[in-house]
Amino acid sequence: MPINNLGYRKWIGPFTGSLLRWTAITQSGITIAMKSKWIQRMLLISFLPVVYIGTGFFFFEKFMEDQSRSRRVAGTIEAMRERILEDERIPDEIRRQLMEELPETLDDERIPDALQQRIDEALDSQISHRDLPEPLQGLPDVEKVIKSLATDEPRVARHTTWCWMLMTFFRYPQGLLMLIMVGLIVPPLIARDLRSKAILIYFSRPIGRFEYLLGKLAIPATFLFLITALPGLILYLFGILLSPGFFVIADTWDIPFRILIATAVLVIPTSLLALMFSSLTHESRFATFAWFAIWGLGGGAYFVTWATHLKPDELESGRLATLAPQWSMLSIFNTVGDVQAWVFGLQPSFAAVAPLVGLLAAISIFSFVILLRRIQAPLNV
Amino acid sequence: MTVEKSGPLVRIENIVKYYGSTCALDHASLQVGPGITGLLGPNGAGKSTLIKIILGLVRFQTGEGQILGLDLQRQGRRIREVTGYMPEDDCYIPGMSGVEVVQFSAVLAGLPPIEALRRAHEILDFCGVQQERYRDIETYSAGMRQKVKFASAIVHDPQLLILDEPTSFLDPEEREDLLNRIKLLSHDFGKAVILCTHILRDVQMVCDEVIILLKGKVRMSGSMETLSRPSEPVTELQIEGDSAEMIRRLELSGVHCQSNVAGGIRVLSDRPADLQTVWRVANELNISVQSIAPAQNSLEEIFMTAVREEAGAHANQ
Repeated sequence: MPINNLGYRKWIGPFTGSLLRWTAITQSGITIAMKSKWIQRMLLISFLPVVYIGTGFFFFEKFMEDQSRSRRVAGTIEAMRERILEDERIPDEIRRQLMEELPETLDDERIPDALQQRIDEALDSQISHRDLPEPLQGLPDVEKVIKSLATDEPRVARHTTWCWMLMTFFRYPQGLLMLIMVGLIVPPLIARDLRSKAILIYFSRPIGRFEYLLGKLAIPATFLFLITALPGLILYLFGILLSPGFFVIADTWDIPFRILIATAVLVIPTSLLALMFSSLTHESRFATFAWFAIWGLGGGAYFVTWATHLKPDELESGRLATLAPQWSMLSIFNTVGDVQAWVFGLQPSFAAVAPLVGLLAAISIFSFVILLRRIQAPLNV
Repeated sequence: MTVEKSGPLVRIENIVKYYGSTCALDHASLQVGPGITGLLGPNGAGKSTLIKIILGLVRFQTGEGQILGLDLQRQGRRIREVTGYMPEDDCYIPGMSGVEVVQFSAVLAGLPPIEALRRAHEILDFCGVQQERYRDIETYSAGMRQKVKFASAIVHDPQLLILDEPTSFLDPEEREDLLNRIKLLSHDFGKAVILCTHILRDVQMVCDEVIILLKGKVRMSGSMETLSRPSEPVTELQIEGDSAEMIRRLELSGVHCQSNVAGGIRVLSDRPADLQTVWRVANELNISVQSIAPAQNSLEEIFMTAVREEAGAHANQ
């Protein structure tokens, strides 16, 4: 017997508004998912790439600082050299001696400001691939960054490089982790409700189909936000703190928005697709299998197509070209990646990714329609 | 969360519902007032469809209705706010404990989360769920889940309760406890209850009104008292002595009667003159009359009569 059994009492307290009632579904889903040791481990693992990309941010900012310093130093030395060469009062012997003694480096404080412009001009052409910090050299699509470093203003170079590093972070480590994370979390979400007939429990409350779906969709969205957008925003903040000053925010204000949009590009189609698989079966393992199979088959098809399109000279030179964007449609991974590249400004033409955006929209709409039908089905018997 | 109530709490008129070419409800009309109403019908009679329509979960082709003054077609969400539903199926939300399930139901119904937890414990106490409330619901017996389902249905203090086979899987003691709780909620807290069950004894024990649904049509509805009354006046006698001799003497005296299954006598009249004859004959035969009361149809008889009528109507078509 309970110590203080009050019996039945009327509820005289307030009721909450219906606008955010779906969040209860999300909250309970997250609580249940977090009970899994595997998901806890995956969350921890998913933050490891932040360290790697964070190191990239650090080296990049250090590189930018070194470049700035070396420009000023080189400019000062250049100015001194000119003065030595042009001053007719200096005897040839001493001039030669001075030229030999001209120092390699100077303190920053001694650099005359007037020479800055000439310094910049001199240095812009000196930047090359080998000048990039070592950790950045191994990353894909690095040529785009090098180009920006070689031709653009430092602020443009910073924007491009940050976007490129974030894009790399989204596409490679987090893309793979997303695949596993969604594969662990989403398949049981609706399948288990169907098997345990919990759908009736939800819909006999003041909850509609859209709210149910929204609540379920927000579960993977929260986890994907935690492993993509949140670390992305932390990396951005890290970059700001490492940069020469807060004026950098003015040059990079759009990056947080790009991070959020890239997260949405990742979350919406993938979560809806996985939820659709979950709604098609009472056995979550079938949904898990379908989820990994569609990524595996898509990736395999893309790889085979890419391999068959390789030209002999590319094989000999070792410079392997990527496929045209339309072939990315074979694989959801590449489709999402290419659209994210466009979001981060690394793919300038929308026309090139428009079919891919259309494909992701089609996947999302198709999945949504199937989901609505599938969750209504148990009520129609 | 209360709504204006005027007239019957549930009023449904001419509802027609088809699933494809199968007719689930055929111009069903009914009214449910305060108290406990039993909804009876064999499998496939349309009970579940009717409940889903009351909850606004499925659309119907024609007809109209109001639940607690709310329009059936346009205010499904509001109806579900003031209604508690206990499904027949063994349904549960996996991965949660009993108390979490009840709390979750309360939050979905609009209670603030902290208050919902407090209320969940209070209701589980009321429902007789002890420390097992902290266990994962997947480890519960079917009877335990039944209690949690009942607690989930009433946790938000609904005005209308729809209970679909609430006593399934319960042992006799638990069954009686649950029926007492239902009676308490209806009589002391003014809740309208629709009790949908195959166990006629449960209906007889607690229901004030009965609705019998057959092949999508409402075949009978009314108070238990009205339905129990036989079409012809009959008086039941319980006697101690030779009932065969008494029947013979009564027939000779012009009073029509027959023996009943319990060893008593059914006098097919309730006229005072006939009852006086009964007393006189009993006195002459030295038979002791233990009880004399107007006969009532049992719920089984009412139900079977409705089924036979429906079968007859179907055969005539």
